Parts: sequence; structure tokens; C-alpha cells
Amino acid sequence: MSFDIQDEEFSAVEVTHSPARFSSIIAVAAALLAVVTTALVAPLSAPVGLFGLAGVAAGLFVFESERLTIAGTGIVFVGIVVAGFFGDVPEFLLFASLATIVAFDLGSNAFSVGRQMSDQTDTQRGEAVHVAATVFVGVMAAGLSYGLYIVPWGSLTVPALTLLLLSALFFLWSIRQ
Amino acid sequence: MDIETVLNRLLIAVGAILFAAAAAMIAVPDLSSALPSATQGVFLVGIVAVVTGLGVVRRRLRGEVEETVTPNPERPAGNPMPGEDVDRMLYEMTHLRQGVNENREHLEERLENLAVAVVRNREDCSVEEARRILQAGEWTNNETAAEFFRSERTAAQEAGLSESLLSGTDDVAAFENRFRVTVEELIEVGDVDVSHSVDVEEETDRSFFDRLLGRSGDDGDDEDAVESNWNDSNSSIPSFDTSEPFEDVSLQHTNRWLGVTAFALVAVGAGVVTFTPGLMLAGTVGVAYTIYARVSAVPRTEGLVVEREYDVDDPEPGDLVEVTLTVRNESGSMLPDLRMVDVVPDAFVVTEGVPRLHTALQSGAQAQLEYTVRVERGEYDWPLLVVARDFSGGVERTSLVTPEAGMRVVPPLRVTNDIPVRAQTTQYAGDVDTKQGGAGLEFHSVREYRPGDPMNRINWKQVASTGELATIDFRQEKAATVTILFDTRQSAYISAGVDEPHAVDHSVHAASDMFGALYDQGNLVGLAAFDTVPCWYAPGAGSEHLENARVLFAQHPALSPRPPERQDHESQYIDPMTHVRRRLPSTSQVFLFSPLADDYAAEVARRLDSEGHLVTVISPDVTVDETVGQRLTRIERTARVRYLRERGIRVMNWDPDGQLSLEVEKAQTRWA
Repeated sequence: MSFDIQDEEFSAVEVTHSPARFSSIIAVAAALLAVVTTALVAPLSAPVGLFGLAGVAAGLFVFESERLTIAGTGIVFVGIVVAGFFGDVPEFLLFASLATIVAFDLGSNAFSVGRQMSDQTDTQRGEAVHVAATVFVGVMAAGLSYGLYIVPWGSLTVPALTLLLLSALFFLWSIRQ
Repeated sequence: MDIETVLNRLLIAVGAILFAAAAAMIAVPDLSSALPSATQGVFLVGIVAVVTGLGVVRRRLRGEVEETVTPNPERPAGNPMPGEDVDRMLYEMTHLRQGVNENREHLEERLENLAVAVVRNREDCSVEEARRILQAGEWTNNETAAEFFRSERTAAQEAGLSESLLSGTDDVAAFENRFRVTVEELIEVGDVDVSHSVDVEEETDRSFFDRLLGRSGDDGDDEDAVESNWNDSNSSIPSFDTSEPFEDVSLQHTNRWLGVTAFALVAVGAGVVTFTPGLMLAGTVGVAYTIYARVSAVPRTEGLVVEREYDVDDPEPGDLVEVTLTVRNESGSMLPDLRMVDVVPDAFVVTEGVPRLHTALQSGAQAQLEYTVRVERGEYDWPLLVVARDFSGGVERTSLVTPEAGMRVVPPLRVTNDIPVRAQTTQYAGDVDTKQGGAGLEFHSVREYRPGDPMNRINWKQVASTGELATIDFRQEKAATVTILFDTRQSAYISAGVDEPHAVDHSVHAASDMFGALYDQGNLVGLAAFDTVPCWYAPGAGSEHLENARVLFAQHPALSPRPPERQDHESQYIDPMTHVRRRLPSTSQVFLFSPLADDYAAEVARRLDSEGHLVTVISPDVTVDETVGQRLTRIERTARVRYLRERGIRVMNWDPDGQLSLEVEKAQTRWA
């Protein structure tokens, strides 16, 4: 009975499902960027931002909790809002907000890739394409709105701009389904 | 018109009004100052925006992303371990407080039957005598264990039982403890091999807290492991099985961008309230991503071409096969986010690499992934699970693509070892020494000459010395008819560990080798399995017979590496042995492969034996001895082996970790 094959090569590959590393690193880097930028605008907001950054990093690398990571990006964003109260530097705020949303997206993507694939899977290319797409969209959007912002519109008052943005949101909601 | 449409139109209407107001303000700058309440109104809108944004945050934190749950095809499907049912019953009783009476009755009955068998075997007495010894408590010195059977039928116990039902909790724990003590005592009394002993005395002192957490005093981890076996069933993962070359499983919105609107709402709202243009500007990024999430295109996975190649053409069970999977995008558009899992059959084990890939494919581009699997007998066709998303990941399409690359794994029926065949033979010449004299090789006896005896067998020496004719008889060598019979009921699909092969796999592997050896010794060999799927292949000879047997080992559903489906339970009242018994030739010996996991298997062997078949039981021992249930099943199995041996049925008690050939040799010397 040649049954010896059984013992030698039985060990199955161990598969683990922690968040994808590449996306995680970029997510934390983006969150860090956001925190640094807001700290430049208003140093007072730095503690809030750092607290959020710690949440993002811990959620991705220590506790592997998507909720914690998202809450962390939320707190980083609260830091931006706080910074906005103290110092109105539109360029920095715009950039920090972009970085935060990138961190939010990549963080959740890291979890999704980790769950559906595994740490042992080759995910570089897929992740890289996702990062590129997200950053590209964000940079285009930020560039466009900054361009609109610096053009002297004269009659574009704050109330008008608010109404415009809100109407855009309502239109967006209507196309949800 | 449903509520959704109404809501949609309402949202559009509000959006249009706001847009018109904004346009009016831009066109006529004086308008905003003309409206005295404009500033307050805008302030109010800002607060509403912030509050809505916080609502979105809450929804995100509560809601889950909806995405396809991918399977883990790397590991073999977990099979139950022997004794799991007992552990589960105890767990239900002590932790969940469910079915206390039913489980208790079942366990008591089971333990009593076992104890009767153990005592009978030790004392060599009748069942009645054994029962008397048990009830008198004479079988052991351990008070608690002796009490277990003694007290059962007394009135005091009945009273105690109802009392305990009223008082509730602690009695169950007490029962569990007595149960454990009795099992340990039976191991002692029955002289059953276990690798370690459990100190039950310590467990009587277990605190309530420990019991609550299910700690068993000495090895909490093991019990946790057992519990997780049935608590953690992978039932949430759908099985991906298809007969189509391409099948769409689902198309869904992932909701992964849920919450991004909050960035826009909170920033814009806060910016408005505090009159900070910078924050409003920051909010526009959020608006942009909200739009990005809504713009979606369904990925065209039907344009994927999948090819699978193996480095071995004709694999045998246990071989390592390198699989190369090539995926080409011929859809004409880019697939930006492809997550692929090759859904390797349950019976296979991935030993190197992972059958997964996450990539993006341009139109016309291709990607490759490689992994190594240990294959198992059978015929397989398995799909590639493709989870494709658009750029933003907002839409997820799940499909199964099955390449035309089936794999057939057929056992070789190698001849490796002589198999001791018993002396139940046919009229055909063969290899088995019989007790009859006649033509042959080995000396048997000398008898009186009968007219017609062949000249070359006349004992000339005797003729010379006495002048009387005598004839030498040699042992006749005949062929035997052997039917290899498998126990492939659900209960036989048990394994010694999560990663270990189950008993049926062990049996079929061993039998496929044994088949070749028996055939080579000139016997007529047949195959059968008792299961709800009838499996019968009549004993025969010839190379065609051998080839058919190979294919049968590989493909017959009754011998499949996957356990029979649950629905088979409906028909369990039909005795699975009926079809075998009807067809089994009366002169056939039986080689029964069974883990002896229940009494039925032992009963089959006994009945076949009493019908005049010589039975050899080859039983892979897959029992383990960590938890109380596992220990109990080990004693039960040992008792069954003894029961069979008592009746003169040969039992090869085989530890699958060791080689069967050694076990066969050992058994051969014992039986010779």
C-alpha cells in the first residue's frame, strides 16, 4: 500500500485575509499628508488630526477593523473642518480634503481586497490601478473647482454658491437608483 | 407610481428650485441683498447640510459594504471529527440549555450500551450478567462512575431528576462531570489506548465562571477548537458550482462609497455657517467623488477567455499537479478591477501558491496565475470565480467562467503487497492454498490409489516397498472471489483533524492498491459500497475488468471524496445493504472497509459472516482523544473491534498515519 504520499505533501497553503498592504500604506500616507497640511493651516487642529491618523493606522495594521479605519478618516476630516475655522487657506484645505477622501477610499478598498483575495495573492496591479483612478479623479475635481474658485466671478456670492452646491447634491441623490 | 419615483421627482424638484434661485442670484446680484432673510436662510441650509452629513456618517458606520464573499478553496472541506455529536450534545446541554432531557437520555443510553460491551468483554459474561454488574456498581472502584449506572433506575433518581428539572442549572453540569468521569473510567476498565489522561478530579472543582466559558480545566484550547468546528460552519459562503461555460451569479451595488457624501455635506455646511470659502471649496471634492461613485459601467466579463493547463496529463490520486491559468480580456473594453478565485474542488488541497489573482486587464491583455494542487480521485470541472468592478468599485459583477479543461484522476491499482486472502474459494485455479488435496505443488497427503489417478502422482516408493499402489495429493490452489465492500454512508466521512483526509478517502486509497494486489494473485475481485447510491461491480477477471474498476474508483458517486448530500437522510429507512446482499455471490469473501463509526457497520460484518462469507474488516482508525466525545467514540470503536474479533472476523485495525502494508504484514503473521 503506497500510502506514504499522504504524509509528505499534505500541508495546505495557509491563507490570511488582512487588509491589502499596498493600499493600506498609501491610505495611511494620504491621511498623514492631510494631517500635516491641516497642521500647517492651524496647528491647533493637529491633535484631532493625529488622533484620526492613529485610528486609520491602527484600524488597518493592528485591529484590522474597517469601522475603526473609516471612523479614523472621519476624525481626520473633522480636523480639517476645525482648521478651517481658524485659518482660511483654501488651497491647503482643498488638498487636505482630497487626501482624506483618498485615504477613505483606499482604506476600504484594502479591506475589500483582503477579504476577497488574501495576503498571499498577487494584488499589486489591481490595487495600483485603483489608486491611480481614485487619485486621478480627485486631482481633476480639485483642479476644476480650484480653477472656478480663482476666476473672479464678481457676482458669485457665498449664498449663491451654497445654493448651487446644494442643488447639485439634490440632483445627485435623485439619480441614486 | 411607487414611493421611490415620487421621492426622486421631489429631489429633482428641490434641486431645480435651488438651482433656479442660485442662477437668479448670480444674474441679479442685488437680489440677495434685496431678500432680507437670505443670510439667515443660507445659515439654516448650512446647518441642515451638516446634520444630513452626520446622518450619512451614521449610516456608513452601521451599514456594511455589500460584496461577494469569496470561498477559500485552498483547504479541503472540513469533515466532522468522530465524537463531535457527543460534544455537541454536551455543549447544548451545558451552554445553551437546549434539549437537556433528550440529549441526556441519548447519552445515558449510549454510555450504558458501551459499558455493557466493555464489561462483557472483560468479564467474558452474558449481557444480563454485565447489566447486573453495572447496576450493582461492581465494575469499578470509582464511586462517581459506579453511581452513573447504579442510580439510573432507582426511584430516588427519578425524584432527583424531577427535582433537578425544577432547580435547573447546576444539575446539568453535575451530569456532564459524571459523564466525563465515567468515560475516563471506561477507558481504564476497557484498557483502551489513549495518548494522554485527563484529570477528571480537577474538573469537579471547576468554577462556575470556567464552566460558563466552556473551559475544561486542562485544555481549554482544544475544546474551543471543537466548538468552533460546529459554530463556525462556513454556511454563509455560497458554493460556486456551475454546469455552464459562463454564468452570471450576481450584479450589485457595493455601497462602498456610502458616506463620501458626508465629506461634502459637512464641509460645505460648516463653510456656509462660518462663512469660510476654503471649507466650501474643500467640500467640492466630496461632491466630485459622489458623482464618481454614481457613474458606473457594468464590467463586461463575458468577454473573458479562460484557459487552464496542467503539467501532468494523467494524474493519479495524491499527485501534485501544477495548474496554470491564463485569463485574456477579449471584451473590447478595459476591465479595471478583476478579482479572480479558481474554485478548486473540495477534495483538492492547494500546496503551493494561491489560486487567486487581483489585476486589471486592458482590452486584449492577459494575466496568468499558477498554483500547485494535490489531486484526489474523481472527474472534475471547476469554474473560475470572477468578481469584476468598475473603476470606482461602485458596481460589482460576479460571474463563473468554466474553461474546457476537465481533469480525471484515476487510481493506478498498483500491486504493492500480498494480501492475505482467506480460504473461501471458487472452482477456478488460483493462488489460495486450500485444505483439499489434488493437483498442486505443496504436499498434502497420501491416500489409497483410485483407478484413474494420474500416473505422475503415484507414490512409487510405497509401491516398491509394500507393493500397494498409493496416490500423493497436493494442496489444491484455487482462486477466491473477493468483494471489496465500502462503508460510504455519511457517518463514514469523518477525519482525525480538519486538514486530514476522511476515512472514506483512506479506505478507497488502500482498496485501490489492494484491488490490484488481489487481482494479481489471480482472484476474482468485485466492488460494492453500501450507501444510498447503490454501487455494485460484480467480481470478475480480465484486463477490461481491471480498467473498469479503475474508472469506477475514480468516478462512482458512492465512492466520491465528497460526502453524500444531506437530502439522502430522507431515504435512510431503506437498509443500504439490501442491494449488496441481494447480489453478493454466496462463495464470495468480503473485504469490508469501514471506520467502524457506528454499530451498523459492525452489524454488517457480523451478518455477512453469519451468512457464510468470510469477512475481513479493514478499518482506518480516525478517532482522536482530546475531548470527552472523542474519547467516548474511541472506546466505542475499540469495543466494536473486539466484538468482531470475538466472532472470528478478521479485523485489520489500521492507523492511517502508518503504512497499511506494515499493518497487513503484522496481521498476516497474527493470522497465520
